[in-house]
Parts: sequence; C-alpha cells; structure tokens
Amino acid sequence: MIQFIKEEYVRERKCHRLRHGRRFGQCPWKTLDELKPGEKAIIVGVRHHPFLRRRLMEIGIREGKEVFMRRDAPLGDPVEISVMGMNLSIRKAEAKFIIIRDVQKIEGSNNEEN
Amino acid sequence: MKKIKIALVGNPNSGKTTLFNLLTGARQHVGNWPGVTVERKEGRFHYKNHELEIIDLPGIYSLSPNSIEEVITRNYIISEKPDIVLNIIDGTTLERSLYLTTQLIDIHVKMIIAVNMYDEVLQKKIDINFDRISELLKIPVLPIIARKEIGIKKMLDRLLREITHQKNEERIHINYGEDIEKAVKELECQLLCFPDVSRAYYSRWMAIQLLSGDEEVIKLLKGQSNLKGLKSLIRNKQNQLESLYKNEVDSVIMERRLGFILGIIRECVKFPKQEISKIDITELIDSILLNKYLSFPIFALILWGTFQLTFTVGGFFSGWIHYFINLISGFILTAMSEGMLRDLIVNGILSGVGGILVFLPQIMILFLVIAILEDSGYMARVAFIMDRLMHFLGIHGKSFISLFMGIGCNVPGIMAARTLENEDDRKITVLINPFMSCSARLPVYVLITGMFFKEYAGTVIFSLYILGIIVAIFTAKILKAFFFKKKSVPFVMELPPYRTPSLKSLVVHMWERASLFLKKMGGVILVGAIIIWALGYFPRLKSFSPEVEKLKLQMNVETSAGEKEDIAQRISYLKATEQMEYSYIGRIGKFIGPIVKPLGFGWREGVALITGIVGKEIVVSTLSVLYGAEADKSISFKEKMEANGVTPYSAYGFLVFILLYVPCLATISAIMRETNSIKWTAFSIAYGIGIGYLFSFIARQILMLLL
Repeated sequence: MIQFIKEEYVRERKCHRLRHGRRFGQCPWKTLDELKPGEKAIIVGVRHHPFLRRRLMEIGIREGKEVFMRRDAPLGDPVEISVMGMNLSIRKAEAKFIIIRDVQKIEGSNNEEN
Repeated sequence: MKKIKIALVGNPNSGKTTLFNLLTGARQHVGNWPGVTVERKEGRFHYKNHELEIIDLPGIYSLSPNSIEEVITRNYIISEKPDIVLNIIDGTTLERSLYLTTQLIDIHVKMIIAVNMYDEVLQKKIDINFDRISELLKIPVLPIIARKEIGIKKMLDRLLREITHQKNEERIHINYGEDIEKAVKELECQLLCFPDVSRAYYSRWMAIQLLSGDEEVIKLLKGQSNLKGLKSLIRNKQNQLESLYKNEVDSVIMERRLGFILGIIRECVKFPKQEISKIDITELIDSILLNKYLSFPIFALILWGTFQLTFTVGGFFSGWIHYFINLISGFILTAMSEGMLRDLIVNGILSGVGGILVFLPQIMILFLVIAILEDSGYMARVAFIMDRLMHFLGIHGKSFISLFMGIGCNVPGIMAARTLENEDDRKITVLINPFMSCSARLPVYVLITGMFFKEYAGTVIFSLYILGIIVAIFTAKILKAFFFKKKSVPFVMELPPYRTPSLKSLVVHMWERASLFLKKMGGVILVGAIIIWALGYFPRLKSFSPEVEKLKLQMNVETSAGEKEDIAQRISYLKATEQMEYSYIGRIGKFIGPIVKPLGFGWREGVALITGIVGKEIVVSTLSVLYGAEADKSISFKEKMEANGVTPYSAYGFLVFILLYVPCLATISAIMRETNSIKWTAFSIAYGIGIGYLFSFIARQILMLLL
C-alpha cells in the first residue's frame, strides 16, 4: 500500500487525487507521466516515497517550478523533462510520483512526437 | 611549507573533474575508496610556493547519506578534515546546486564556491550578483570557466587567502525556524556529554542530522555511554516537531533549506524576463540524436565506429607490439644458449609482457573515445535511449557500451564499466562481461569449427556469440535476483547540454586509464603468465621416448641437409609434446581428465583449457603441441583429435566451454580491480567454470539427441 503523506496539500486543497489515486473525483491535478511532449505544467510536489521523494527534490523537482515535457525516449520509456533550466531523464514509473497542475500546451512547440 | 588539502565537492556534470584534471595534469593518483568500487582520485600541484593536495570527491547532489558516493564524500569532509572545501557549482543550475552548499554550510567547514560555466551563464543572460551572494553566505563566490582555464588563478589566490583568513566564528547558520532551532540547541547541549565526539565534529551539524534521523551520525556515537538517553530525547523531539508541522522533520528541514536558497536566488540572481529566442543548440542536436527513428541508427553507427577504431586501429598497433616482442624473443633465442633462463625469458616473461602490452593501444583508444562521449554529453543520451532495454536486464543503459566493447575484448569492456554511477550496476556489468565472446576466442572457434563443421562453421560461430549473450542476460537476472536486490536506484539523470570536451582533460583521462592498467593489472598478468610457464616447464623430462631416439638415428643416417633439418624439427616438436605431457600441467590435465570425460573430451583438451587461462589464443598452440600436429603430418589434426574420441558433438561442447569459462588472466585482474573484491573475482571464476561445464555438457547431450 502506497502511503501519501503530503497531508498539507490534501488538507489545504481538498484534492482526492493524492489520497485515492486517479479514479476519484474531478481532480485538476495530474501526475508527470501524463504530460505529453510539448506540454508544460507546474510542480505541486512529490508523493511520499522512502527515498525517491528526497532524491527528486535534491535533483531539482521542487514545488512551484515549471516543468516542460521535452520528449519520450525512442522506446517509450524514460522521458526527458526540463525543469529549472536543466534537462532530466526520468522513468515513467518514477514520474508517477510527481504531482503537477495547470497543464498547458506550449505555443509554437513543434509537436513531432504524436 | 605546509601541505594544503583541498576537497573538490560538487554535483555531477558541474565540471569538477575537468577542473581537477586542469589543476593536477598527470600528477594524479587513482585508487579505490576502501571496500567499495568508487574511485578515489587525488592529485598534487604547486602554486605560489604552496604544495596543494587536491582530492576529487564523487559527484553528488546532496550530502544526505542515501548512496555510497554521498556517504564517502561526507565522511571524508567530516573525518579527514580538508583544509578547505572547493564547492564547484554549475552556474546555469545555480538553484539546484546550492542545496549541496547549504549542507556544506551546516557541516561548518572552510570553503569557497566556484561558479563554473560562467560563459554559459552570460550566454543565457542570467545576471548573478556575486558580491551579494558572498555577503549573504559569508563565503567567497567566484566565477570560473574551467574548460577555458579562465578565472582559475584568481580562484586559487582567493583559496589560499581564505585558508588563513576565514574564521569559524563568522560562519553563518541557516535558520530552520524557531521550533527546530530550539530542539537543535537542546540536542547540542546533550551532545556535550560526548566530549570526544563533539570535539571531533561540529555539534550543531550533528544535532541537525540527528533530528532528521540520520543513521550514519548515530553510528558515530556508537559505543558511547548514555546513548539510549540521547536516542529517546531525539525520538521525543522528532514526535513533538512532527505533530507540530504535520510532516517529517527531515522534510521540514529540507523545505527550509530550499526556502533559504530561494531567498538567495531572489535577491542575487536576475533571469532574463523574456526567454531568449536564440536557437538552443543542445535542443537542436537532441532533436536529431534522440529522434524516434534516427536515434538507434546513429547510436549503432557511433558504436560501430568506436569498435572499429578501438580494435582495428588499436589492433594495428597491437600487431606492431606483437612484432617487436617476437623480434626480441627471436633475438634472445639466437643470442642465448638453450636452457631454463632462455625459456623463462622467452616463454614466460616476454609472452607475459606481450600479453599486457597488446591491450594498451586498445585501452587508450577506447578510453579516449569514451572520454569524448562522456564529456560531450552523448553518454547520458546513450543511457536515455537504451534504458528501456537494459532496465529489463536490471542494469543501466550505459552498461550497453561496456558489454558491446566486451565483444572486442573483455578487458577494456570491463574497465568501461567505470562510467556507471551506481555500484550495483557496475558490478553486474563487470561480472556478465566475460560472457561476451571476445575476439581472442575467435582463433579457437575458427580452428575447431574449420575441422569439425566445415561449411557450417559460420553458423556455429554465430550460435556461440548468441549463446554468450543469452548466458549474460541469464546471469544478470540471477545476480539481480539473489545478490543485488537492494532498493533499485531511481533513474533520474541529468542530460547535460552538449559541450566541446577540453583536450587536456581527454588526454589526462586516457593517460590515467593506461597507467592504471599497467600498474594495477600488469603485475597480476605477468605473475600468472610465469606461473603457467613454470607449470609447463617443470619437472624436466630426462629421457624421451624411443621414437625420438629412432628419429635421431635417422637424422645421422640422412645425408641431404633439407631432410636433416626436417627431422630436427620433428624431433623438437616431439620433445615439446612429450615434455608438456610429463610436466605438472600435463599431470594436472591427466588428473582432470576424468572430470572432463562426461563432456566427451580428453586430457589434452583439459590441458588446453588450463593454459587457456593465460589467454584464449594459447589454446590453439597448446592443442597443436599436445597432439603433435606439427611433428607428424602424415595424419591430419582432425583425425588425431577424432582418434582420441573427440566428436563434432564434444567439439561443440569444447567451444561452449571456451566461450563461458574464465576468459583470461587480464580479464581476471580487470575484474579484481573493478569489483575491488576477491570474493567477487573468485565468484566470477568459479561461476564461469561451473556454467561452462554445465552448458558444455547440456549442449553435447542436446546435439546428440537431435542429430
């Protein structure tokens, strides 16, 4: 059972997503693995995980930062994201732990990957 | 004149190693940190009458003890107490990099900050107020461009000045909020009860770490009395704070740090309002190199090029080395009279030295190419595109390069595993590398398949390569399942911007690998070669078989010079055969004869397998000596082998054994060096022999059933 301890977010914003996963409610938040190439969003936080959360925050996945999905790897799995002016490669399984909001398409981005 | 110890700390890709190579040049000492495979690099240089010793600590994002690299770095700083820490920061990712700096501030060491890649910062029109940051952190912050050697002198001057001028009392503390600060103060007071510990480490730092539940710091306190009391106090404080913040203490501390950094960034750094619409070169290159359809063909091309360069061009130089070694041994053969010393020099030492030197060109070229791939930023892309495939095997995308190079030669292949950041990945990659069928095994394949499989030779050889890959995958799975099942490390990796590598750094890197190979592995190979020689040379056979005597008589009778020479040749070949049979190695071969019997081959093949430990190409010469292939040409090599019970089935089994068991002495010493563990080296040898035996047996049985 995965624990979601980001309680402050849950309390403040009354979003079910963190507590119940994707099926509950009309939650405006998504997870990073749902972001398509050419889209950007704002990072809400990282779901609780024994070491991943700390790791991701240390490397630069931090609250309030803008994240931009650059591309999928040719075989589909890791994805390349851009955050705080650097490009990171992250597996989709790990991107699931990153909660994002305000997904929007970047204008003029050439969306080569479908 | 006192020696000054400098510790180089920074994120991966911050240009730490470039700066290190720039400062120290070839005056480096590369070793391992005790007990692990993480590299320890030290170097010395002189600057303005000071002798500076600099240590390149592993690239890390934080000092929280999550990985071995982080633990090593932190332990070095807190226990070996360098005179000053040089914190390298990539100026384009200032905000991220400062996290490490905040942790260094907590540890309370003298330090200066060098903001590297300042040219890129200017290019991105990011405006950094260095004076203001220095003022806020009370630490000098200086811009440098390591690749272009700009700002280095100024940095060193400042460094030397700070060692004498920086005062501990003036250091800042990061404020973690009233409640945490209170708890920290209390813990600090408690720590005074541990005088030896609190004298050795900075107590505020210890208190903060204890509050965030740092196991490593608790270990430092081990063996102290009333540790229990302290532990319960910590637990107490943690619970108190947790119920207050509704969050874990270490998360709160982390967020405070991030807040502190954000404050500094807001005050001192101005980003351009509008994103500059200049074409991003990295993005442009990536849109080609990481393109869905082009990425793999380009990668294959680069791999092919690397392979060709390493083994064709390297092979060309290796050929010359071979040629010179042969010249020397030819010279010694004529200059010295027959005897043990001559034999030792020619067949023991020279063949050992030759066996070491032939690897050298390959290693130098491969590491030059790898350094280029690494420093330019392409290596990270390789991991990116290969990750899906390699993740399936439980290893890292970068392992692919190491394994692919193994097809040329396992030694540089294993050494290439260095590029992997994670220790477990590195070990698995090293341990499965021997199953990649290297080029030295090819002569054996060619000899045997040429004799037994004729028109199917190509298919048979191909099947061996495939079998090797299958066994490697299988082994990786087993290792992952049983030995390296520790938490899998998240694959979050930076894809750094493409950069032109600095020539000096490349050359230093290449030289460092080559000297490492010669120093650390050369000795093992030489000793091994001499041991195998001695086993084949002793005990001496005094009287030879009647056949030799008959030939000798025949030679005396024969009149024509040509005939005489021919017979003399046959005598020496025959003698060599008999000597080898009589020697220790022959005896060992006969001893293991019954063991290899189930595989369908005899003691001669057993001996060939033993001498093959030195190098696979020796198997061919051993077999031909033992079967007396040269001495008696009336029946062919193949017929001789068949007469001794070798069938095509067991011949295939023999090849499978050759493929899977211990590759060669050089590989063994490379494994020993890279895993830094006798246990794993022994495992590799035993596993290789075991799996070789098993597969050889199975292969023969299956073939006999099917055909």
